[in-house]
Amino acid sequence: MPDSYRRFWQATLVFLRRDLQTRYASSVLGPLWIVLYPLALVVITVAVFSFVFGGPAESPTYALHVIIGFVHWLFFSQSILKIVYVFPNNESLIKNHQFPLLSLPASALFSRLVDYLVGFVILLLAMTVLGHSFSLGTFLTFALLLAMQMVFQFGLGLFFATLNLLVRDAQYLVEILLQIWFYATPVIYTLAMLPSSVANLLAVNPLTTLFSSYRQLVLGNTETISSNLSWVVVLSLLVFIGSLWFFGKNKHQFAELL
Amino acid sequence: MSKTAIKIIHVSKAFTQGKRSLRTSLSEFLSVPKKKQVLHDISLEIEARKTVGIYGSNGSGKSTLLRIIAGILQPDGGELEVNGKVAAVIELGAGFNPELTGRENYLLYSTLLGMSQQSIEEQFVKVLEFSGLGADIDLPVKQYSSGMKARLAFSTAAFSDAEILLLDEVFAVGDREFLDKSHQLMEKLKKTKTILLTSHNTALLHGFCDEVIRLEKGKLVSKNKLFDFFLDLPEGEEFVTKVSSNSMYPLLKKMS
Repeated sequence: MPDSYRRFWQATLVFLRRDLQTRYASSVLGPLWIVLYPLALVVITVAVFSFVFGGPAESPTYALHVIIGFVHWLFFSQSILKIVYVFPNNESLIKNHQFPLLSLPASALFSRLVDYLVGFVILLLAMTVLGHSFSLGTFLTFALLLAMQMVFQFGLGLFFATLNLLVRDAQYLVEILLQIWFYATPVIYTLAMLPSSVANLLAVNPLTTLFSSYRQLVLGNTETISSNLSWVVVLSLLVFIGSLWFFGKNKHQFAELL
Repeated sequence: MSKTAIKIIHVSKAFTQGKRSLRTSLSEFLSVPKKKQVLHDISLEIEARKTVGIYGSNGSGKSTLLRIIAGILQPDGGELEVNGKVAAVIELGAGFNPELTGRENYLLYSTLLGMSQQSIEEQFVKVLEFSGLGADIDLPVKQYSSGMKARLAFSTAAFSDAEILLLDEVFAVGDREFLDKSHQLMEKLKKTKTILLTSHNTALLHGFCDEVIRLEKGKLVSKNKLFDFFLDLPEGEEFVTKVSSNSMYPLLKKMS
């Protein structure tokens, strides 16, 4: 048992390293893109949405809302997409080598975590500029909630990645689902902007609770959380454990299904 | 006393043919799904530290058999017992990342083989020396010739700490010099490792192996095919045949 655990982490780290090494391998700027790409995404979207919805001059906290929303939304959606495609992208590896297959989606998640950390630094800068800061307590709570989000998105990604090998339609379903999910999550808007009936409906979405909590932690009590965190924890763990089971049941035929 | 390294009992494997779609799923639902039988009831026992060659034409199921032994594919039925750590080189250079350098690919490959960080670094010198890649080790693998990829893949597996080596057509693309070098290395490896080697080149197999078995259309060759089997043997060599009555496949031993 400890040996398979060691093999899993070794493989995960070597895949993560490969991913970061090859992602921008043929480009001129190379590893600089790891910083530039998420930076550009966040800056562009914040600029556009601040302009469309009211403008940053009107409310500087809105810019902060959008940065928080976008950094975490990108982490969520990009992780899921990367995990969904990770098995087809490594087809020849899976068909010709025996290794812990779970290390592939795990490395995909950590690869996106690197992007997220760049986004988080942008968030910290924006917070400093706008006069907000973390205390150690809020920072730890923040990290704990983020860990919950990672558990949730890993489980969801793994479920669709496995399903996608059984029926290749799953990848299209995921892209549509994420499109809908984007609008059903307070990314570019805040709950306070919505009629309370709609806001209550969105409380079912675990990302609503998570994103509202992130904002609360950064800005102080500007929003009330409409749903409690226990729902998020229970759902995330259910999705995580359920998809691990689903993956484990099917992983033996991956080399054949690809 | 000899220990069994690989034991295969009544192993079969079939692949579902064609792509899945709503239409085929429906017709599958109504009829028996179309399957291609790749391996038929294979039984085989290989002792530890034996070098066994599998001879067969394209599509005879050699690679599938190696994938099953490596644990990449699940057999449909039968039993499989593998005692020891396995390193497989199936489809040359597959799994090498074209963007990464030879050195980085070596690191990736040997990590996947479950080697410790320390032995990965220790064995690198030997791999570099044997593969003869020299400074090319720091070039991206996409610039390698198929021979270079073969040398890197084979030497990585050969110098790993695996007890069982599965080598699929590894020497098909090598030049004379690489073959001679490999021959010497194989002689050394044979003393410590169990090796399973596939090829459609009988002369090469008999040069490397203690025993050669023949796979044809997914079956281990049976008695009535024995004559064809002998026809394929290289000229001017002497062999001893061993046939066990319950398994019906011949084992050849080269006289030395």
